[in-house]
Amino acid sequence: MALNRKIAYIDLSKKKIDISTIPAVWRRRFIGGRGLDAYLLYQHMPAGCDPLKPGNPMVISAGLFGGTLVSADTVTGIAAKSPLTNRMEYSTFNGLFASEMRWAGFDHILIKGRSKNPVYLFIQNGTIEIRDADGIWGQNIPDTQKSICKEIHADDCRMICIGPAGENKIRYANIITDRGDAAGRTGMGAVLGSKNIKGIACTGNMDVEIKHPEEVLKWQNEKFKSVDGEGEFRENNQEGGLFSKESVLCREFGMDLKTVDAILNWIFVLYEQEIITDKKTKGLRLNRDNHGAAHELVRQIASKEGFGKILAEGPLMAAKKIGKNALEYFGTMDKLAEIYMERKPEPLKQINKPEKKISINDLPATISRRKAIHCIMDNLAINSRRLIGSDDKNDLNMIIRLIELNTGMVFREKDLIETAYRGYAVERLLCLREDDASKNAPMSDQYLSVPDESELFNNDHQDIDLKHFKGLITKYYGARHWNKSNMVKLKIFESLEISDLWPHRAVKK
Amino acid sequence: MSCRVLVADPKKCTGCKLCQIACSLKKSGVSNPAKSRIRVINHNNQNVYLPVSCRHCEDAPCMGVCPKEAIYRDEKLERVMVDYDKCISCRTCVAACPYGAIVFDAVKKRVVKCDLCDGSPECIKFCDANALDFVDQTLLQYPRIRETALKFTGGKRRGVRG
Repeated sequence: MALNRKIAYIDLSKKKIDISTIPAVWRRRFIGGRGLDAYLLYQHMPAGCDPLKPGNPMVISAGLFGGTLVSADTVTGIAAKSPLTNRMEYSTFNGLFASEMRWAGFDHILIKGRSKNPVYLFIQNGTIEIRDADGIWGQNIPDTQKSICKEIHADDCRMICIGPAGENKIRYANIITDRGDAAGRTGMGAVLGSKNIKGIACTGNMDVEIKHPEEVLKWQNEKFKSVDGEGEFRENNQEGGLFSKESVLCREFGMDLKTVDAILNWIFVLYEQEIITDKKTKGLRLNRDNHGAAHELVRQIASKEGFGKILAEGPLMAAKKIGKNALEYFGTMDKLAEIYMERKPEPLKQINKPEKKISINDLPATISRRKAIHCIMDNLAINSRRLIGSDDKNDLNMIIRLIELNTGMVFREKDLIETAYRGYAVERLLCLREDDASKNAPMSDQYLSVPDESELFNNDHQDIDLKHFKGLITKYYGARHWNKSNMVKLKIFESLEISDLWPHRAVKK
Repeated sequence: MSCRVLVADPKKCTGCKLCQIACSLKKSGVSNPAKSRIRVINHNNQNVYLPVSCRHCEDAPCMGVCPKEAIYRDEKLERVMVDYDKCISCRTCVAACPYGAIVFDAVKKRVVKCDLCDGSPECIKFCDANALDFVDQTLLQYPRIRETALKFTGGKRRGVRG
């Protein structure tokens, strides 16, 4: 059976591993990937837990299409409560880890608790071993990869691991896979480090069953021919910014490059403006002509030494400690949002796209629809950029056909969109439970007043003020079936058949 | 009649394993790289990928060592094939192949190798990076000739300025 897939629950504190089959009803409700991750976290995460304490569970997931002919476009998802944002976050990376995980027999892995000593996990053909990593702890990313490869005697395995930054629980430490793709934003490396896990290696040669192999080959082949030109290859998440030399160092330490780049730029400006002085930086001169300064600062952050200790907590916390309106110098809000949100605030990005202009007042409905498709893509764990176009109907039909050919599950369009809303509702519930602040999604006036790239190069761009924007937000929540205080309605939970998750069920009835 | 051969260019391979998935789907009906007739080897977890499949050698070592003469040459497609009525699964051909292109299927208990999908290899249809190609064997050298020739002209064609 194509969907007879396994989930592993690993309790590191008790060194216990439970393996069970993923129920078919979960597939119908959430498909897999992000939706199922949110559901699992909702069930296994104690309310109000500290992201860096053993209570915070982490789910690593392969979507529905790992190991299939779509696998080149699949991503591996990592979900946990983020130490940077204090919300449930979902971070993904490209590469073949998800496929290898499926060939090794698992679709989802949930890690709980904390190991007493450093360990790494070795997943192979339906078994999971917790192995000692005392000798590897402290090594940088390339050395870790070499050491683990040597220990498991595998020339060709897929692996994720953390560097010293993750071990030291830097709040924007990332998880790096084989060639340098990373689950970068939201500090998943710190969560893995807090569990004393150095890495996870995976090899497998088990079958991944495909429902209709002949038809898949035929259909995919036709799809392949219709794609024009060559695809993007070996795309690298770690683009170098101003401090491109330091990007190599960040990769070795396992820190999110975009966040470090933004922080370095910010700190150098603060130093120029004399908001921070030599006393604060403990003697480190942060002049632009001091070539070693950035290098040293990155090292200090990764090892939580000196001034780096303040910066390791993330820009918002660091700004509080530095004081003197330091956050105003962070540059655009866009940059801060990039660090603290997994996606840029979409409404603003959408309205001024030159190629496909939407009127401001049509935004809520349009975005709600697009968001549903993105949610479905996340539930399937595929990279949406290459596979979906701008025609909603076409995209949905393609997804339905892919699911049917590969797994045998038949979805109607309505059902598929419902799975998206269902996953989103659970995630929203989790957000509200963990973080009261997100009830009133904060939106600063500053964000709207600072022009972004699209405005600078686009003559007929549409202006928008905060009041108008807030009106649109209310409309948008309406389109997504939320009520005024951004809560998902109980009625919606009932119609989505997940009313058992509703927290105030006893009170309401 | 001149025949076509399957060639692989490691320089272009991105290691996406789609060829392996397509091959195992076509031949075994499941997705499993271990059951594929073509292999992509990732060297030492570096960014180097080496696709390897049967070369259908003119003087094939596997054919020479087979004690039951089960390996024969199919003249029509110029390919090396296994006759499973004669094969005793002794795995001598696996050891003899200098490319390691013959695979032992542990489930079906028999050796398997590339048969060029009867003249229309499934793997090349899914190679997005164009690392795999199915070319006429007399034209094999042309990509290399072109590459070297371009070095002499500095990558420019005659009469084109700039």
